[in-house]
Amino acid sequence: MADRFKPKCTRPVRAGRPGTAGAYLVLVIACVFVLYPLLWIVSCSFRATAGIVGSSLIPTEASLGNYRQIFTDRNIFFPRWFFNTVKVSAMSSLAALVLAAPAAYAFSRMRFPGRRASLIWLLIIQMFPGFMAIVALYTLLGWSGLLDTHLGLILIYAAGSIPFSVWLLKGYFDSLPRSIEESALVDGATRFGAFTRIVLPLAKPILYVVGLINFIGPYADYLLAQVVITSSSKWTLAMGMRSLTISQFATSWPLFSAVSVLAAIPMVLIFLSSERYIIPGLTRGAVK
Amino acid sequence: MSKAKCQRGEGSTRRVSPKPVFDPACARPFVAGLLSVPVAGLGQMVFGRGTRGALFALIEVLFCVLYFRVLALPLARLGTLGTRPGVDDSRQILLAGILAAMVALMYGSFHVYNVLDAARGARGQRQASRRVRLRSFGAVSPYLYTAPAFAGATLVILVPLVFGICLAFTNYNLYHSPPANLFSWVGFENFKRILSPLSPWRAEFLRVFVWNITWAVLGTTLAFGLGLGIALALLNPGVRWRSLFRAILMLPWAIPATVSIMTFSGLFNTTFGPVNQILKSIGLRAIPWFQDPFWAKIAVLLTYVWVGFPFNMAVSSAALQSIPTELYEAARVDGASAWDCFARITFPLLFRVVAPVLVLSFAGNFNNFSIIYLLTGGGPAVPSSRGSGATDILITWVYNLGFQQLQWSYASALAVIIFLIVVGMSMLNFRLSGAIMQLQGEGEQDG
Repeated sequence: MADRFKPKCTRPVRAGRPGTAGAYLVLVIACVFVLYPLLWIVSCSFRATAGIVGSSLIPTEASLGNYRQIFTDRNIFFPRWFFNTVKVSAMSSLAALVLAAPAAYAFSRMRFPGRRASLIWLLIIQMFPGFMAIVALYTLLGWSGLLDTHLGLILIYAAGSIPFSVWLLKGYFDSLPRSIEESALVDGATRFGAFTRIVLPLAKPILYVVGLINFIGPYADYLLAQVVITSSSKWTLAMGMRSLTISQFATSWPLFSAVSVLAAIPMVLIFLSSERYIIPGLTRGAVK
Repeated sequence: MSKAKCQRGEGSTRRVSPKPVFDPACARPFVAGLLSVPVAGLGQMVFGRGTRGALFALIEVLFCVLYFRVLALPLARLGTLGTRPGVDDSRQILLAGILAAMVALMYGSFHVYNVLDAARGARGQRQASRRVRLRSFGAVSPYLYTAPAFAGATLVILVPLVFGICLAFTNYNLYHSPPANLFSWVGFENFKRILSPLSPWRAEFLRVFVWNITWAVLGTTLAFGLGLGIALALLNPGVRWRSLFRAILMLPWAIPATVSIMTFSGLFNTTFGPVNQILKSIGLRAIPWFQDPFWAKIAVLLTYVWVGFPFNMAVSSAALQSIPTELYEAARVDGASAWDCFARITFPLLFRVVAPVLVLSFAGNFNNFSIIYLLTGGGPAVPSSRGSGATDILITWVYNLGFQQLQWSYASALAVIIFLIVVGMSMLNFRLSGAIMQLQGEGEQDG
């Protein structure tokens, strides 16, 4: 009963009939706009005939041939691309967190000469167009013998994401109460102990978000991977897909579609299940 | 600083006796600092801080050894960037020189610190001992925490950045390309060529720049407009299955950008792409998406809107939900229409929250490399002497200049220009969002 007296319309748009119909119209059109390309690429991946690709979403002869080929053809070997990509992305995401979290903690909790300058410095240096670094990075990797290795790629991804990660983590650490840490320090815990045992567990949501964003970046990157990696056994997904779209465009399109679908599915699942952490994490860091 | 303090202290005595009395205690910091200029730690040692002084002196000795053994050669070769074509690699010489210069700079700042420390320590025994205690482990630990991040960012971001900036002042191009040839310093020549009137560079730079701005403004505005519109529709209280709609509409954000961009390149394909087939089936002409400059731009924008609206939708709906509902109730009591509510309450409040995000995504979009590179490759080709296509933005043009035409000198000069533009925009953003002001507030607390 009480519900009837609560103001029903609290949202920006009035809940009148025409308003709701309009909202549905907008949403349905938007969903069609979003879904058509996706359904098209899925349907392409089931197409048996290579050359002719039409606009209809239901293929005339559906088959799993493309999927079979990318799991058996040694030149277009999806499992290896996928394994390489996950390995590189996961390791760089982890390395980025290990490098950035202590720094973010120091920036958030300690006051020291050079703190403000360093934070601004971190912001500014990452604005230089990334690939202009490639000539220098290529030389550096050559000196250290890391060319054409996943380790080289991982180190560059991880270190390259430091500024962004530090800022995002610092924003979140700032919002955590200091009282728990301080009482632990009074009880004789070390600074580092307070950081690893108290702050890090409290900061799990943002660690997850930063880790995820640093996972997505390498997962989709093509530019740097293509410069560092040369041998095809070490290719990542993006490189493999690019090779399919460049080589014989129309003929390998169904194969490309199959790889795309399989590459996208894990990301979609991860993303949709963690989306509710991402937005608060991002706006907390960016808006505040 | 310490001298000023001394004089202020004397001020009262000075009034009594007009002759300035020489106080030896006042000269001590100055002498200590002076002693530490040639030999690090000497000032500290003379004024009773032997261990500390010895440590400082040891660091200087180590640096001198390092300098003459390792750093001197790369620093000296930095001037010419190599003299023997085919033997010297100018790129490696430049990079080694930059690394050596950085180590030298780090030592330089240590040496300055050493002089100040000597002066500070000699001011008085009691002060010194308190300072020594303060400078125990607690004062060093922030630097230990930040050291890994700084080492990483320096090697992978800063050193390559300095290298890139240096290339802008060289003639590294097809004819001066290592390892067969050397390149050398040319000063501001590249910038002059790009920006001087009547040069073909300038005309092309301006054309690309205008499209770059148009692209960033239109793309950001369209994606934001669509995202906001959909967020409003999604938050309409009459709508059911909200989480289903939301999940579907978030899909473009979840899909790796490479996948979606390459998918769109298939969708817009002029001969077999479904977009044109649909157009033909409803009796329209096929559109030359990637052959006509105008339509190529439309294709790029459409793709960006698809990829970019979910982020804007998410940010808008988070911001919309943070608007206090009492405002709407009050407005409704006062007889405001739905439009009034939107124009007077929703939009101003929303804009205050999303403005920084908008500027940030504008800056990101300004340099949105992958979408242009993977969709059109900068094409279609237009009559131009410096290789930029109709949809090329500055960053893809730079890439093309560097990797395809091996015009690294011009590419780097353009990259420096882009860098300055983006830094300018971001400074504007931080002025807007107040992040810098917040930092300044914290800085005052530093004490």
